[in-house]
Parts: sequence; C-alpha cells; structure tokens
Amino acid sequence: MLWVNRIVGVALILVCAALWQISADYPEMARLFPRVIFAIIVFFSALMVGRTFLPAAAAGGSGEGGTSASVMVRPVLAFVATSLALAVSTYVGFFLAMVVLAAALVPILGVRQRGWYAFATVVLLVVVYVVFVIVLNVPLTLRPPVL
Amino acid sequence: MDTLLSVVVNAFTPVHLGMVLAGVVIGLIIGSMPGLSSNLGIALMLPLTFGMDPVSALILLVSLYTAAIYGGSFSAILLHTPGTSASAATAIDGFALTRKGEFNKAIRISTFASVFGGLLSAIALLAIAPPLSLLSLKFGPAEYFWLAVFGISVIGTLASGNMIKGLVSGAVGVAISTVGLDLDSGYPRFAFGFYDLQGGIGFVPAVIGLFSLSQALLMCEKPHNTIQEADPTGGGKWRLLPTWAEFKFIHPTLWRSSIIGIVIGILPGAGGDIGSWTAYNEAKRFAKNDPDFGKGSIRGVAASESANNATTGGAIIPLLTLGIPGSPSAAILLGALVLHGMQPGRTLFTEHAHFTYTVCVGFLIANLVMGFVGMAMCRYMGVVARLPNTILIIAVIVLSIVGSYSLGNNIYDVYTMMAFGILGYLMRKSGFSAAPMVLGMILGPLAEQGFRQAVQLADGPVLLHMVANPISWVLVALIVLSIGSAAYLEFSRSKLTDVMAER
Repeated sequence: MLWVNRIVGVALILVCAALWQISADYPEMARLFPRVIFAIIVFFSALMVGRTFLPAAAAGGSGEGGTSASVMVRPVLAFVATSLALAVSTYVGFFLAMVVLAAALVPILGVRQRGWYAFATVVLLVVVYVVFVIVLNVPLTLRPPVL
Repeated sequence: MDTLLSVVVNAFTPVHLGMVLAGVVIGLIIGSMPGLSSNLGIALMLPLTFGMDPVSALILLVSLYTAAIYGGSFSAILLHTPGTSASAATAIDGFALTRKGEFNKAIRISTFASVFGGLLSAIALLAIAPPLSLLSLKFGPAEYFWLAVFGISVIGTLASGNMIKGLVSGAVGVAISTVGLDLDSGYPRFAFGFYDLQGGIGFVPAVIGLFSLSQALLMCEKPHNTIQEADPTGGGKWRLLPTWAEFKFIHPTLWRSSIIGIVIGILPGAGGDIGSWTAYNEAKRFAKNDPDFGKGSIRGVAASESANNATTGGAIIPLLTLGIPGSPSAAILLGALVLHGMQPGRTLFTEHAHFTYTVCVGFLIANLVMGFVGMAMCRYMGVVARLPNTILIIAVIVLSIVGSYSLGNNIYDVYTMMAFGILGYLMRKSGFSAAPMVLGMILGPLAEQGFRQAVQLADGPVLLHMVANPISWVLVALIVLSIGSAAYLEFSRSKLTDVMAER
C-alpha cells in the first residue's frame, strides 16, 4: 500500500497543479473556490505521501479484495469486455451487445453452471426489455440499426 | 390535525403502499445477497424513480434502504455470510443458532428486532426532525459553507478506515462538483472543450459507477461463492412473533440497542455497521450472566439487528433537517431528494411538509411491512442468498448500463458511469472510500455557494467574516474535533503497531 499511496498522492498534486494553471483564465470568482479545494487536496496529498515515510503509520486504510496484483486480471478484463460491448452496441443494438458481453464473461469469470447462467441472462434481458423499453420507453435498440 | 390526517391518508394510498411493498421486496432481495448492499440497491433504483412523483420515489427508496439493512441478516443467519456489512455482528449468534437447529428462532428474533429498531427510529425521525430543522433558519452563507465542510470531514474520517484518504476522497468529490458552467458568470470550468462536460458531471451515473459497477468488478475477483452452509430444514417452529419468554429476555437489549442505533445513525458518516457493532459490544457487557452470548444467544441477534435498523431513521434526521446524511446510503438518498427538486432544511417541514411527513409515515409503514414480508419470505431467502456471483455480476453490469442510460437516453451518462466504475474499483482496492467523494459531489455546490456569498458579503478579511457568527464557531469546533479525534485515534493505533512490531 505504501507505493500506491505515494503514486496517488504525487499524481493528485500534479493534477491539482495543472488544473490550478488551467483555471488562471477563468473569471476571478469562478476560479476562487476550485483553487481553495485544490490547495486542500494538495495539503492532504502531501500529508498522505509524508506519512508513508513514518514507521508503522505508513500505509493505513487497507483496500478491499485480494492483495496481489494478479487478482485484478479478471476485473480489468471484465471492464474491457464491457467497454467493447458498449462500443459494439452502436452497430449491433443494445440487447445483442449484452448477449455478446454475457458470452465474453463466461471464460473471464470461469462460469461453471453455464445452463443456469444462460437462462439467467435471458431472463435478465427480458426483464430489462419489459421494464425499460415497454414501461419506461427507454430507446434501447433491440436489433442492429441497419436491419 | 387536518394535515396529519391527510398525510396518513396519502401514505396509505394504493400507489404509495405499492411503493412500500416494492421497496421492501427489492431491498430484502438485495440485502440478502452477500456482496450487494443498500448503497448499490438505492443507486440502481435511482434512475427508475425519475418518472415518479417525489413522494412515491422517496417512499420507494427509504423502504428499500431499511429493508436492505434487515435483509442482510438472512444470509448472516443462514450462511454465516452477512448480506450487508451492517449484519456482520448478527452472523456470530445467528449462524450459531442455525447450527443448533434454531433457524426459525434466529430469523424471528432478527425480524422482530429489526422492526422494533426501525419503528423506534421512525418515531424519533418524526419527533426530532421538525424542531431540529428550526436550526437551519439561523444559517447564513458562511454557516452553510462550514456545515458542508463538517459533513465531508465527518464522513471522511468515519466512513473510511484512513482519515487522510477519506478527506482526500471528499475534497476530490467537491472538486468534481465544480466541473461545468459557472452559475454566476456562465464560464465553462474544466470542460476541456467537451460540450457534455459543460453540463457538469452527472451525480446519478457517478453514484451508479462508484457503488454498483465497482462492486461488480470487485466480485469478479472471486466469481465463485465460498460460503458455509447449515441446513435450515427442521429449524424449529415457524412463528410470526417471539414468545413472551423470548420477549422478556431481549426487551432491555432491544431498547438499549435501538437508542444506540438512533444516536449513531444521527452522527454523520457512521452507518449501520458501526451501530450494530457498538450495540453488540454493549449487549455483551450487559450479558455477563448469559453463557450463550457469542455462541448462539438471541440477545446477540437482537442487539445487532435492532441497532442496524435504528440507524436508518437516525441517518435520515440530519439529512432532512440540515442536508448532512448520516450514512453512505443516506448520502445517495440526499442526492435523490435534490434531484426531485427538494432542498433539505426548514422548508421541508413548512412549504413541503405534506411531502416530508408522507415520506416519514411511509418509512414507518415500510418498517412494519418489512416484518411481515420478511417472515413470509424467510424460507426462500436461502435460495436468493445462494445465487452464484457470476449471475449477480452480469445482472449488476447490465442494470448499471441501462440505469445510467435511461436517465436522459444519453450515452455520455453511460461513459460517466463506466469511468466512475473503474475509479471506484481502484479506490476500493487502494483503501479510499467512495462515500466521502459522493458527499463531496452533493455538498460541493452548497459549499461553493456559501463560500462565494460570504466572500462577497465580507467587508474585511474573509476568514474573520466566515467565523463571525456563534454557529460558525460551533461548526468549526466540530470540524476540528472530528478531524482531531480521528487523527488522535490513528496516531494511537500506529503507536500500538510500532510497539507490536518491536516485540
């Protein structure tokens, strides 16, 4: 957690410095409050980085889930698959894209009960169609726009 | 008297009772699934409430909130896996009772205690909130600024395990709230030429990303459930209410734990988990003559469950009166309130009194309905709690996308949700809490407005003007106290770690 705190702290200080500079063109009252907040973020970020050089107090606030970097492979792959499915949905329609996403998650998550998973996905999409498309009139595309 | 009658009649209309029932059922299902929390449930349901009138929307959300907290006890008792963090203490005695073949007894006590705590907190809400809201009348721009800072500092120090990380998270949330057109000059701030960013960063997609998508990504780390199971069949006789002997045994615990829950709920940032553990520890202190405590005592279940449900009403008190939520879930409820055009404060109890009291009565009814529905559904909740994580993951991802898209049929909201989803996941991995960031996003505009007005009104040094009023002094003292006490606790903890490392 030590290096994470240092990287996050330094990154926040740099981002705040950049945003401070960007806000120089804004009207005086429009930039005043954001600059106060940037100063506060820089102060706490510096404290966070400084604390990592003290004994024991160092890390603090352990994160959730597994600690090794390898546990993040599945979440990152799932996020990438979701992003791709969203990009594809413009061309193939929302519901087909979600079916593709569900299929892509099978190897990523190592789904065991595939029959139940497929059944649950179909039920979920039917519920989404009924609630959002029919009841709430959300224009989710059922099929590719070209068809 | 006429207002009271019309509020009660309004709360009992079929539409509002339907909202109570829907909120309770959805809340019970979400709460009973390990990994899914009341935050996630409220965040996912928010977009659905946009087409509703404010009363129905808020009744649905508060019903879901209280039922999700209670629903967490099912998986805690049945699977030794708390559905929500607020039910972690329940798992100790609840699961031990199930192992002894007393599943029905554990569920009966948990239900009765949850309803008891919830009802007491609803009564406290109706009794305390109106007079407390008078305080908001004395607030000027500077006081609103300090109030917002107080809310963020308390939730930052209490809701996350690390004070500095909590405060950084809250400050970043406030910074995010400054994106978009400046309300006075109309100048686009931090939009970087993107038209969509000029409208600001949407609160609802951000909340869905931070609480729902991040949870789905976290569940991807362990997509296969590993839960302890006990056989609930033959778990004793089903009864709706505790026996007289059981009631006599637990009633001092119920009163004590509910009061603890209400008080902790009122404290900004301290949610159901802190309430239930505090009440559980207090019950343990008073149960020296109970050899079963910690090994399957109904007192343990009653303490934890009455306290965690009592925090729900307690958390709504500062939310309605001062705009400071008492828990992360209440922070999302505050967002819902603002999105439906309501501003917390005295006007909620004067101009919009009908709305506010109907929601409060709806909350009271939800706590009653939750008991009946919970006892009726208890035998089937095991099936829900055992749903594979893989199914929950795809369901949460799809609902997060659809929910954020349905806000304005705009793909920009989905991208916002995705960005906050991965941000929320990385924050949770590195020990940053999302709750202070959400509160920062909600209270940011209030803080900025108060700050700017105070700057414009000041005819000398701005800081002196901002602490000129006694209320400002009290708020500044509270901010210093909350940060100082959190810093002292962390310092003591780190010194203890040093000593242990040396040994």
